[in-house]
Amino acid sequence: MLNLQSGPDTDVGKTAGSTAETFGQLYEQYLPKVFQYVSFRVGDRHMAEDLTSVVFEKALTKFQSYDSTKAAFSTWLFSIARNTVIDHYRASSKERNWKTENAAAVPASDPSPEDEAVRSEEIRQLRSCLSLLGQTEKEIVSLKFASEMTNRQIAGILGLSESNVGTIIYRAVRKLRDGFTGWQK
Amino acid sequence: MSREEQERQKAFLENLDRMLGGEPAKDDPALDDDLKSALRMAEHLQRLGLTPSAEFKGELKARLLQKIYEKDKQAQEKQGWFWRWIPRQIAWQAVSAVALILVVVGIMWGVGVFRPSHQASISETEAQTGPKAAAPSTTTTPATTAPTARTTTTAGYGAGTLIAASAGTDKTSYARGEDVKIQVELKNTSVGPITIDRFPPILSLMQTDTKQPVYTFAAGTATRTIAAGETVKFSLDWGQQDSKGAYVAAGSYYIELEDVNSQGQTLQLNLATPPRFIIQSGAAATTGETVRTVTVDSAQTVGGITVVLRKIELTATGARVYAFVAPPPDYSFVPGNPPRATQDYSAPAYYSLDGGWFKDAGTSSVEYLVNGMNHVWVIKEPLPADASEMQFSVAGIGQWKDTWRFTIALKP
Repeated sequence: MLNLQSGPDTDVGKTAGSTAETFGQLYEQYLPKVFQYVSFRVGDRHMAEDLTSVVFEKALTKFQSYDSTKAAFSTWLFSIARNTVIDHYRASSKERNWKTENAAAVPASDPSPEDEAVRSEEIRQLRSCLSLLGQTEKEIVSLKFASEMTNRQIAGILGLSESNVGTIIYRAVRKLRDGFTGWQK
Repeated sequence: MSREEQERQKAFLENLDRMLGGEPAKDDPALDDDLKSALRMAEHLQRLGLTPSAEFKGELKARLLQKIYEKDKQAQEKQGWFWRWIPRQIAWQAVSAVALILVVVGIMWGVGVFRPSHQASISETEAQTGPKAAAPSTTTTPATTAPTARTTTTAGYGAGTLIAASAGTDKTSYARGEDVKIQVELKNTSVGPITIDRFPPILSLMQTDTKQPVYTFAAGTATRTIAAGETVKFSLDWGQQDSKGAYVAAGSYYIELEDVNSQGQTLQLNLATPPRFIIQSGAAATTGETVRTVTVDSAQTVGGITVVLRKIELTATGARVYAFVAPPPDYSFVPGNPPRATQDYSAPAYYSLDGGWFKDAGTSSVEYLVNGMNHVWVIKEPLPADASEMQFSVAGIGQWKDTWRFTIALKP
């Protein structure tokens, strides 16, 4: 039986019950965010599913050693997610181009085929713009927009200062805006 | 960075956090056109991530929970059997300790440790009369005692079990040839839905002495999702025949369920104490000597599947109908003891005599072969001696729902 260490941290310390129950609740809470983050990074649904599975399997394996007094569960989990994506790219030697997810997989409210085509092209262009960012910028933008983490949490994961994270986001978004505006024109 | 630029960055980040937090956009005077367009870009980025599909979410969760249960099980196996019985929580440890003390004191009281010597002798007398007339157990165990209750119901709630399986039979003792009615319940004890790829699962009738299967019902073809906490039931009738249609020997039998596949994962279906029952010795109602054999050897091909009705054995008390079925396109033979297919191909059939009403011929016992299947149906009522023609209809083979009709001349 896995044991959880209690502590002042938010989610895990407050959760009572069996490991299955605890992990099940954390899974429900974090799966969408982790999946969003991974899909943001790899751009392909199937690859995102594979890597998300790896993230949670690693998290389960290491769950016993997680210490909620040292880091928030989200910080711990997204560190695993980040390392998993890095390992994936390392294994494939070089970072793949950000793929275009097919339009059908993009959430939309019953769009017409024309809307879907435009949306698909917009995503392709966004990914193309993202590929122009540096590695750290890409990491931070992914964590900010896919997992909706605070700048402080991102700083904790990447070992940067909170103000540094804010500055990188500010610059990266404007850089992306410039590239994306060029495409729209 | 200039102070003015720092202020602009601060205004941008504050508005960005509000936007990501789901708050509606405000007309912030600190935002100029440059920052507003950057925030619109941020809106685009927010929509870039994908949402996990429900299927992926459920499948991964089931896999992770299965791993947790396996870990728990391994951990429990590492512990000694004694410590397994010790509760972890202090309150329960205290309750258990008190209960244990009471039991010990009760036993000591019962044997007269706390009583004068004459009371002890009375106690011994009572022990021989009253308490020994205990009610029969309602559960059977794999021990050698014969079952005495009408219904056997047992459940498996092992640590590695996401599905709690329980099974029972309508009786614990059967006359030979009598149908054994089996009911199985599967309860999803996990916190999420579980999809069983082939439902119902494989069920075997096992001989207690040899611990070998005498007949195996192959898995069904349906995909069944069981919601968290939901219980699904299925029932089967076993006519006490082996796969060749022969009646099994009298004796003790029990039921086993085979583990099921759930989207690539194997889930355990353990019956902790498998339900047992006895088949009494004596002649089966329909196992009388064969009076006459009618050779048919007639083939019918419907929907691409060929059924060869080979023969009918007429007895004083009924009949046995034998057929060979060529392998359907989805047939897959699985060697083993007994060999079986990857799915259930048992076949219901009906018969009528000389143009009369159709009657139920039951569901076939199936012997699975590399090149097809042997089916046997047992008709459990005597056929009139003057019957001259039988209509025999096979009303489906497994998931193949066609009908194969045969007209058989019974008179020589």
